[in-house]
Amino acid sequence: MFGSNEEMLAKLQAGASGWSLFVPTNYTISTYKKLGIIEALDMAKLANYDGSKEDPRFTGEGTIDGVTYAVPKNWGTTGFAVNTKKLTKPMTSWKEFWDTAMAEGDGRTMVHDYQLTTIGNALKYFGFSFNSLKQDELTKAEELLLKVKPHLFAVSSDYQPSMRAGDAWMTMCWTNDGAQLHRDIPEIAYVLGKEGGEIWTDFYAIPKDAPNKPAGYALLNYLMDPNVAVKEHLANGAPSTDSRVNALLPKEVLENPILYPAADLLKPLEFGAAATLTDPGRAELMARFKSA
Amino acid sequence: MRRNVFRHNLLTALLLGPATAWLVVFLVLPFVAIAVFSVGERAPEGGYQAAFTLAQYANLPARATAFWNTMVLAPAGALACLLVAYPVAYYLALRAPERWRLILLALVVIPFWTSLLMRTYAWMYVLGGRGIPALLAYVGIEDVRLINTPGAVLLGIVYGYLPLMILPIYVSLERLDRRLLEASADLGATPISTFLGVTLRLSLPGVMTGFSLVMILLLGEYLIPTLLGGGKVFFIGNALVDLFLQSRNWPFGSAIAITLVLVSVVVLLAANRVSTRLSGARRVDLICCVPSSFRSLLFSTCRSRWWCCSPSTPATTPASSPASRCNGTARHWRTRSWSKR
Repeated sequence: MFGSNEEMLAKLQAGASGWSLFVPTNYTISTYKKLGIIEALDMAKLANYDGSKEDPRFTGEGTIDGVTYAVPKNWGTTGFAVNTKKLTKPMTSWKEFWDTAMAEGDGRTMVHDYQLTTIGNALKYFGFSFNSLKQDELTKAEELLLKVKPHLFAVSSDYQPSMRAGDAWMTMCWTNDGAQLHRDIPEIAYVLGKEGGEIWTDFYAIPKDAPNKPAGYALLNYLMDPNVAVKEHLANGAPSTDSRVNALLPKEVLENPILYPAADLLKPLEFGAAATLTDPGRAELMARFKSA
Repeated sequence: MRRNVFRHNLLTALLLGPATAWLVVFLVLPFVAIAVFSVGERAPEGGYQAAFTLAQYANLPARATAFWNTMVLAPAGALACLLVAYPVAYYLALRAPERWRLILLALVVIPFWTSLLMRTYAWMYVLGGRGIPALLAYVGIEDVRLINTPGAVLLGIVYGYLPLMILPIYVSLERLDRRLLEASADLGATPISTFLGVTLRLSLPGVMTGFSLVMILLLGEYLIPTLLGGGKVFFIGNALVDLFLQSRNWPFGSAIAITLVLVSVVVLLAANRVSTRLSGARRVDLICCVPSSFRSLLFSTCRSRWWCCSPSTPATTPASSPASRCNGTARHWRTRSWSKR
C-alpha cells in the first residue's frame, strides 16, 4: 500500500518491485505504458472479464490504441470526511474545508501526502481546474497550502487510524475510506466539495518484470469473477464498474449516497490528468509544501 | 623479527579484508554513484538522466527549512537524550549495587532487541487519541493533542536513542578512578565541585561519543518524525525520502545526500575537537563504547599483549604510545583490585 501513485511509480521505476499484480489509478496507466513498465494484457487468460459489461465512463484509460493494459477494479471520488460531533457546522465545499482547517479544525485536519489531491483540492478553493499546470494558478494554490500548513494535524494518506482515534476531526478522503469510517462511526460524514474535485478508477495491471505472471493472471481472473468481486467490493466499499457485480450488490449498498453520490455532485468532478503525475512543477510544489 | 612483522601484516590484512571489501561494495561504490547522480538531471518522467550540471547544488536552498530543522532538532534531540541519560549512566556506574548492575544494564539494552519501527509505533498509540488523551479526558481534561507535535518527535528521539547515549557514558564513568573522588573530597571540594571538576570532566569522552553517535543518526532521521510528527516536523531525511519516492528527482536527492554526508563529517570532526579541548583526552574513540570487560576478553586472545590494555601498563606511558589510550582501563583495573583488598 502506498500513499500516492507517485510512490508506486518510483518503486516500479527503480526496478525489481517483485509484484505480479498491482493496482494503479486511471491517470497513471499511459505513463506506465510509455515507460514500458506494464505489459499489454493477454485477454485470453482473463475469461472472467467482460468489457461489454463495464461502465465506459470509468474504463477508458485502461485501453491505449485499442490494446488493453489494465482492467478496472472499482471507481470512486475524493472528498473529505468530517467528524460532525467535533465540527458541527455543515460543510459542502472545498472552500469551507480549507477555511475550517484554519479555524475550528485547527490542529485537527489532515491532507493527503499526495500531490494530485492535495494540490488539486487547493486549486478548487479558487475554482481552478483540479489538474491545473498553469504557473499562476499553482502559485495561488501553494500560497494557500503554506498558509494552512501550520494548522494541519498531519500530511498523510493513512488517515483512518487518526480519524477513528479522534485525533483528527477532518481529512481528505477517498470513497471507500469514507464508507468504512461512516459504517463504523456514524458521526463521521463524507462530503464532496461542490466546486468539484476528483473522480477516479483504480485498475489492475501486470508489470513487465513480474516474477510470477501465471499467478498474476490467475489471481486477476479470479478477482474478475463477479461472485468474487462482489465480496471484494463489500469489504472495500468502493463502487464497482462492472454491471454484473452491481446486480449482485444488496440494495442498501446501491442506495448509499457515499458510494453513489447524486448526479449533480458527480458532474463537476474531474479524472486526474496524466500530465500531473510526471510534472516536475507539481512534484516540487508538493515537496516545498511538505518541507516548509 | 622481520618475518614476524610480515606475518603480523599478513594477519592484519586477512582480518581487515572482509570488512574492507564490504565497505567498498556497499559504501564507497554507492557513494560514487550518488556523486555521479548529483551532477545529473531529472528525467522527464522522473529518475535520472546523464548530464553535467551543478544546478542541483544551486537548488539546495529550496530545502533550507528542512536543513535548518535538522540542524536545530538533531543537537536538541541529542542534548535532551544526554540530560536523561547522564543520571542513569551515573547511577549505573557509581551508585548501583554491584549485583544489580548487570541486570540494570541489560534492561537498558533489551529494548534494542525490538525494531525501532515497532517501538515508535507503540508510541503512536500511547500518545494518540486512545492513549494518554483518553485518560486525560476521563479525568475531565478534554481534547488534548499529543501526537504530531514537535514534543512527540523529541520524546520519540529520546526514547529511541537513549541506550546509545547511556552506554558510552556508563563506560567512561565505570572506569573512573574513585581515588580521585576521595582525593578531591580530602582536599575540601564540595560534592558539586567534585562532580563538575572531576567526574563530569573525566566522563566527557563518553559524553562526546554518545552525543556524536546520537547526533549523526539524527541528522539522517526519517522514521520518528514521520510517525510521531505526522509529516509536519520535517527533517532532511524526510526531504530525501520524498525526493526519491514522490517527486522522483534522483539528482537533487543525491545532491542533498552528499551535502548531508559532508555536514555529518564536519559535525564529527567538530565534536572531536571540542572533546579534545575540554577533557584533554586524545580523541573521541568509538572503541570506548565496547564495555571494558568485553574488550579485555577480546584482546586477551591477541598475541601481542603488550599493545593492549594489560593491567601491567604503567600509568606513565608516554602519550604517544598506543597503550596510553587505554590506560584509563588499566588504572580502573588496579583500582578494583585495590578496593577489594
